[in-house]
Amino acid sequence: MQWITGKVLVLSLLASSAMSAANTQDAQSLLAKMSDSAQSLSYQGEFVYQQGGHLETLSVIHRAAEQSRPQSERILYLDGAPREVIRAGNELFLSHHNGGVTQLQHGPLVPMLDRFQSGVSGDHYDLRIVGIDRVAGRETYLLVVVPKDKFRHGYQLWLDRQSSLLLKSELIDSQGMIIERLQFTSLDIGPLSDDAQSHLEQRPNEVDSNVVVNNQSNPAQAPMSWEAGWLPEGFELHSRAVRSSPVSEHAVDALTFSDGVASFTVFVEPDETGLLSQASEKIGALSAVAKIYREGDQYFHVTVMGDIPLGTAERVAVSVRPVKTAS
Amino acid sequence: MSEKGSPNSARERLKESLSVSLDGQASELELRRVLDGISNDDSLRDLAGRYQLIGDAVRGKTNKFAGVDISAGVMAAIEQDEAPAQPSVDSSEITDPAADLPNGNFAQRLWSSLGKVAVAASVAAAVIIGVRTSNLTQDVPLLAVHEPTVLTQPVQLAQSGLNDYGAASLRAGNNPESRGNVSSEQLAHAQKLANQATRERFRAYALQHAELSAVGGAQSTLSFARLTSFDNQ
Repeated sequence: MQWITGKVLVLSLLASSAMSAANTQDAQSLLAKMSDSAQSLSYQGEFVYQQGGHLETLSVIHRAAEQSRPQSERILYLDGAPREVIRAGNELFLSHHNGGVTQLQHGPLVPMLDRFQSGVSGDHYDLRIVGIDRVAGRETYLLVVVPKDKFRHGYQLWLDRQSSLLLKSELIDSQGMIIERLQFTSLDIGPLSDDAQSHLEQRPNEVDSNVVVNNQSNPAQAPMSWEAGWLPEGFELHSRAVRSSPVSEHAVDALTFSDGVASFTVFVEPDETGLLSQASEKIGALSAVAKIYREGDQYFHVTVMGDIPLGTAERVAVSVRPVKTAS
Repeated sequence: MSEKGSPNSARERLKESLSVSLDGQASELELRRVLDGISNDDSLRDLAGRYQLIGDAVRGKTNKFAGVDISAGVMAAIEQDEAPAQPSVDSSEITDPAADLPNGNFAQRLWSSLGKVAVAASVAAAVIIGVRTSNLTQDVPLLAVHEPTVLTQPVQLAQSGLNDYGAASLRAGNNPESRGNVSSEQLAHAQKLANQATRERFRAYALQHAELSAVGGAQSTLSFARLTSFDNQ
């Protein structure tokens, strides 16, 4: 099976030179449609998420924004201890069986770039519609997204022919191995049942940790603002936020970068523990890198996290530095 | 995927596939068919549970949870081994300071002594810097003088869930004087805490990253599904 995947990648690489520009444009508009549908449609379904040797079943209910109600979504883990994510407008709750309830609150999040819509540039990925397949009983287009450099992963995306919703997704590393797979097993698009609606309205009774986010970051109130000295080509700043740290009293700078397909976030927070740890870790499809930045006597934790290769995350992490203002 | 023959024979084949998949020998295509089939058919779902029990019994395992859990069989059937993650860039920067660390064996002992705890972490390098302890006068510039000590070794982390950073007030440095004051146990403890703190940050940041990258994105569902990776560790 692995060699099949490899072959698909090799084939698509070979074919890329001969591929028609029309196909790329179709693929791009399909991705834009997918992004749009994911927000503008109401749907509910169940999907499996597989990563490494683990398989989880989850259910999702998504409601498009209406006049009075914000876009909301509920994701429930169906296996093992119940875990639930509820996202509604500016609120996000994560209920965890042993971690309690985490709530994130933030002002209106206006992304600086719309993922996918901002255009997945053909400069960094080869985008091709390679066929028609069937997922969750629905006809899909199979879209192959092959990176042109080693700074990002490859993707195979199965998009619903009717609605362009993402029905199946595979993340592929540079060896052609599948790192993770998401696949719907059932999907209903259209108005939600009352039952489903009520799930979206439920809120946890108690909240254990509350993170308030200030997205309208005012550089004056942040002691320092940070930047990445090196970014893989094509990645652009997607959003910037200052939020209270989940693990300390300090504020954390969070910069999210995206190339239209992959995204990663750079977190910087001042150290207060005196215990500094530098680590690199693959956590499923996520690469996580922790580095220390030192400015005089002050140490900072720099963390890079996202669905990018570990090497890319490392390289970004060591390049993070305070923005030097001209004095 | 057009099924030939009667619905019954299709179902029979599905049953066979189910059996095979629970033995971990199914192809991806079969597996997908089984997953689809199971989700649509109650009696097949029951059957999956029974096969699972039978399979476990044959393999000499007992199953406390007599429910449907085909993940064990699925596990073997799908390519699961990702390539060993090698930090390709700038890893020298982490490891170099360790070269002149005299107590490298200590870290190996730490490795084995922590072997029982639950969470496996990948190669981690912990930097332990000096911290002012309460019995030191203010004018001892520990932070400024001593370079961080770096330990580079695979580390496993305890899953105590405690957040007792306060206990981390010990000092270590590269100069022999201050190192003399730090026992290997203290160092081990400090390293454990440092890694625990890092893990906590990773976990907390992962949620935030999911949220941040979900905004305006089509893969929000995927972003949140990824959080499950933390439960598998």
